[in-house]
Amino acid sequence: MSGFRPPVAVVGAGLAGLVAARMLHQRGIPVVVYEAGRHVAGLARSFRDRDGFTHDFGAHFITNRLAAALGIGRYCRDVRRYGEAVLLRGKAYSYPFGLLRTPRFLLGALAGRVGQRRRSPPASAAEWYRREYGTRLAEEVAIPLVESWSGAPATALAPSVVPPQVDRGTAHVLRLKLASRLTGRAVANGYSREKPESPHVWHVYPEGSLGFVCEKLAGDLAGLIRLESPVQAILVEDGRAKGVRVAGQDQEVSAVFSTAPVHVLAKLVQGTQALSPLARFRYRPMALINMRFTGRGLLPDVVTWTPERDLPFFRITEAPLSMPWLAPEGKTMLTVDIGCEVGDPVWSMADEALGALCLEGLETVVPGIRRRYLGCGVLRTPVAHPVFLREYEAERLMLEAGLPVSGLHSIGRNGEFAHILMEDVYWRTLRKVHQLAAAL
Amino acid sequence: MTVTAPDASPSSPPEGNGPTSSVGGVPLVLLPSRCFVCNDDDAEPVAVGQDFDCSSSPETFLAVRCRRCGLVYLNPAPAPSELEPTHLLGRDLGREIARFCQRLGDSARILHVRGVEDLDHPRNAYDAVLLTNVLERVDDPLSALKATKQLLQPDGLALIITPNTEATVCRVFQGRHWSGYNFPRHRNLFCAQVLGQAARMAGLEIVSVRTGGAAEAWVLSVRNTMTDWRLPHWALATLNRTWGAALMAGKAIEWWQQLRGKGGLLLTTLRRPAE
Repeated sequence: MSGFRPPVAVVGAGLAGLVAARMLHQRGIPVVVYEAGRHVAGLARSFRDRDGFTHDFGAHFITNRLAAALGIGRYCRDVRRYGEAVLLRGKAYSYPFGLLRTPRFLLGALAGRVGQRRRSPPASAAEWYRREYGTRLAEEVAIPLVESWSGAPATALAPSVVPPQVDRGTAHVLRLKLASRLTGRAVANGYSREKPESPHVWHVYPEGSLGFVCEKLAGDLAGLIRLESPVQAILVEDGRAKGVRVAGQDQEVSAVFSTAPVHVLAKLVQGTQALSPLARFRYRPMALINMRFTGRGLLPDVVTWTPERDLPFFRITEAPLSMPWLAPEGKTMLTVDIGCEVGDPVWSMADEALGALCLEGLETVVPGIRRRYLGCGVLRTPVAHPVFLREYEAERLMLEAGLPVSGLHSIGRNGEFAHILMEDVYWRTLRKVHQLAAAL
Repeated sequence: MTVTAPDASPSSPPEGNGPTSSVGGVPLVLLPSRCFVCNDDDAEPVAVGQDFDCSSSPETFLAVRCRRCGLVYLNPAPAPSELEPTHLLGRDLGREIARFCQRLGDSARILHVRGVEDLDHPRNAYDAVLLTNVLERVDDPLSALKATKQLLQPDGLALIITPNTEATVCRVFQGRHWSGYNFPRHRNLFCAQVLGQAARMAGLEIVSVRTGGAAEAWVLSVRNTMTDWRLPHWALATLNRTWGAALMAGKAIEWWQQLRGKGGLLLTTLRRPAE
């Protein structure tokens, strides 16, 4: 016996890839991380512009629990507050209780619940919302939002677009909100599904942006990360992952952990047709317009949802309300989210034109906001989140159970085709890799 | 050998151990750790905490519970050399120790171990060894237990006193403020079952396991909560002023919890088997 053990290849140096690689490395399993980009952290990176505004790409914060697990607590600042509002016909409702204080929404929601048990499971997201929230709340708020978010009609979306809520009674939500008030910390509320939420788990912002989280993980993997090394193919023989092709060279591997979006993974895999159903899975592209303004507190809350169909956007985030350090004093930044398709007019529009389009819409939300405008920067991502279409729901459930190729595992937000947030990505990846590492 | 009785004056609040540890403002090196019983890191997070005694420390810590055996440990944990040994003795221990020593008789040779350096004594020399608030602090509890075994004569007894992770006070303050965590000084925290398992691994027999009262744990946990939630200064001052009364209340609760087997301290008597 030669004693040579081919390494495990990890595709992608984002949070999930680095967590998986570190865990394997700690167990003495040889590992190589291939990253197509010039940096680790993928979508989690952010940067500070000349005027002192911080632009985050995707997630803004993590929890103190994740920070402690990574040993970076001392580099994190507490997020003081977090709240969401829904803007409907010029009126702001706090979410969720403000909406439920409105009699027509409350009555609809109660009526929707009557006799629910006897019915068969809902066939679509539209049906799910109507049953759970009542017709009015569903049609005026939930359905327009999920359609803008997904870019597909709610009748074509599977109910799984709504993640199962664990331990989310009204009393629990109220308790966490109260704890947030009492402690002056943004207690995580509806953010973590993998681990229980409690008054002791709140949002923190890592100093020097979220990219820092990944850099910390990468620090434990010195010499094992290949940057600017896109994986061109994953080679499968006899139903088993045997190698990866990088820069035209085939490398022998003992297993592959992929964080690539599953429709990309389907195209990377050679030597089997087993993954071809994944090729039609869709992710929603998104343009995130970071708009700079004078003033602070322009919006009713940190996140404002805008279900009105005549607005070009469906969500506006005023992150400096919860994290003042993201903008210089006396100024603020609104991040406006517009769902789009790669190559469509929004995707191809020049940044300033996109800014002008948003400004027009914002003027109806915050009259006079035009005078405060200082300019914008635009970030575009082709894979903001998965689109849960009914047409491939059966295949998605199969993916949840694991890929049909032995030694090939799909992990992380894109790899699992799941709308999971930072902390959940961490715990899910740990759990998954822990189970699999025993067999490696 | 005589045993020095711990200071048992309960009327004043204890100071934080800031000056004796390196936690203060100095950054710690935190390293991944694993359950020393199972040699695995498959665990559930149970508490995120800070060094409440020296609130200037910016570090946060994660206590996790091993999915296999139930040991609660820090992961990541400070590098072994990071923390100076501390010699704090809880005030609830005095009576327990006196009772244990009384039973052994006047002629017994008893060693009271309060830190890992105290384990460096002649082998096979003691009738009894006391480990009070030691096992939760040491880098390697298994080695400490093995060293304890070697200090004992065959049939010698060891009394291990350590915070109890199945105590009511732990359950109430579990998520963050339980004084038993004492972030980051307590690396490993035990329930009866895990301690028994670790003792057997070290070649010691279990004679008895029971729980003892830890009145102070209630008051300290309340104080941790108040400090952490930045309650007004007068609230903390009031607690400090009425420390004695608060301890009495803690005693009353612990008296009841002890009867239920849920007291704040775990008292485990072990024996070195006769060869």
